[in-house]
Amino acid sequence: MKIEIDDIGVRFGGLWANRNVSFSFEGPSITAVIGPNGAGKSTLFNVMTGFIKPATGEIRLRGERISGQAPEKVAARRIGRTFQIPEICHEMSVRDNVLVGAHRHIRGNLFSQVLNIGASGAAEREAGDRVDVILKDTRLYDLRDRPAGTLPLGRVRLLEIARALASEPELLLLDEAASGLNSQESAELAAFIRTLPSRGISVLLIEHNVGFVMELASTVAVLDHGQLIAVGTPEEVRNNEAVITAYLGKRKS
Amino acid sequence: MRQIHVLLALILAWLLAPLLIETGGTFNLFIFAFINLILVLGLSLLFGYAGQISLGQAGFYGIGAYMAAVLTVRTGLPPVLGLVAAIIVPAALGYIIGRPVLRLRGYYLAMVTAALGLILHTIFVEWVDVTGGYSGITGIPALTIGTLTARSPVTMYYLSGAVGFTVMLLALRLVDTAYGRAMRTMRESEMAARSCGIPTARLKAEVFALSAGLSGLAGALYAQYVGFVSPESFTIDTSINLLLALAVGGVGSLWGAAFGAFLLTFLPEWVHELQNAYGLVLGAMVVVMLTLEPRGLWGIVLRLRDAFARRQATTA
Repeated sequence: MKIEIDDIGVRFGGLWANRNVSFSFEGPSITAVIGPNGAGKSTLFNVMTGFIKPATGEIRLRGERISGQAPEKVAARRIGRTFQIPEICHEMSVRDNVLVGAHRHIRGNLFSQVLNIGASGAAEREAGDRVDVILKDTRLYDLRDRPAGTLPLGRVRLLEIARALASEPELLLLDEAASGLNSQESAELAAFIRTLPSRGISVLLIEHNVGFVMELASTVAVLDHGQLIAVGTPEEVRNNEAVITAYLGKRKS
Repeated sequence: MRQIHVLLALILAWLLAPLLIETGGTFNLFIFAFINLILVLGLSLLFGYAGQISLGQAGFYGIGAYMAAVLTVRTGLPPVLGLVAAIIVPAALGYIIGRPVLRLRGYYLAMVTAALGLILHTIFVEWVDVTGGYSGITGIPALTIGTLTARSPVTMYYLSGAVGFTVMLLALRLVDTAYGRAMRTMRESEMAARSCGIPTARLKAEVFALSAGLSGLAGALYAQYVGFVSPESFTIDTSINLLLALAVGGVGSLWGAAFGAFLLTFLPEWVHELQNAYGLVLGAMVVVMLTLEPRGLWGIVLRLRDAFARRQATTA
């Protein structure tokens, strides 16, 4: 799997939220996009998942353009995501929320599902079995019947990841997955994310907590004011002059 | 499972109730309650579950009623075909209109659906050749299935009840399928739904069509029972009352919708000594309910159940 981000530009009024952003990565791997608040990280995610059409450039998955397509079409290309502010159905159970991720795999229409005819029942059971495995992996299994709205933030972030995993993604985009978590929760989350590439799932992380990504990602891209200022291994990025300036400000001389 | 038990108990009560009911008037009320049940369930799926408001339900209700009336009275088709057309035509119209209109959200969708209801009402009034204008259409034949004609209140009681319970059962099933989960997720977050591969534009239009079809079904049952239709049954007042009934019963619940539908039917009877105070009582209930228990009457049932469960837990 190869993702190419090629000259992405996004304009909100007079402001370029992304400009000339180009980098690529191959999977299965863990890649991170970091940058200060307002650097355009979430905008890039929204372009990659079809919520924003870029003014310039395109995003390619295995050489085929995916930018400019509707989000549900992008999801069908096996790209899953989470949200910086979690977007879950509060009154639905944890398990039902995760089952929503498997939506594409449950065949049939309104009538076949309600009347339980055709392949709908079998597909629903298969999806349910897969979801139970994911719930165990994410340690949500014991909470599966609880209304999702009653979970603490740490669990909600895992729930969003579980839901994205239920769609069987090839690429998983995590938007600030560690924000709001305590140190133990974020250590657990990091350990879990680290297992994903071995299952053939590539991860692209957005973080402004630099420490969290530096030990997780093999490639780090740095955005500042909508532009890519550095891309490389964590070590290269850590020592990059432009990155230090962006994070710490210019040294007065 | 427990929902099914409650439903079976209610079905048993419905089957046996005629032993206790003596007057045709009470049968009438139950028939209208079942018709309202179908209407409010349609609205509950659309608004409570899929999150799309409609102030135009009366328009689709009216199309159903006029389809049943016009096809049988003017073209002599059998009533069953009128009933089928009364479901299909509003559903198809709902889909076609819903596709562009449901891009709007919240207040804008409320306004546009209200306008849609006004347009349909105007058509019922002005297209005199077909609808009979303000005088409406009389002599609509009763629904006949095989040799059974639902002319007497008792037969119609059973027929409308059978349809009402079937719709309730299918709706309860629907909200627990992948389709229902998609609707509920879409209500809380379109972004989340779309990221999970749910085509929300199509889903909204389909649920709009479903609720329009249910409204049409209710309209046909109404027309074929009463034998007469006129535009005044399908005004924006009707649409608003359906929404208020749902709010009092409980927006996010099908059982709440059922409470609302029965309340909408029986409340005017209970308070008829107060004459026009019905609006006052329903209005006050909406205000009190939405401020104190936004989940409606159903929310109160849930609270009582939780309180009971807690007491059981502490005494055990």
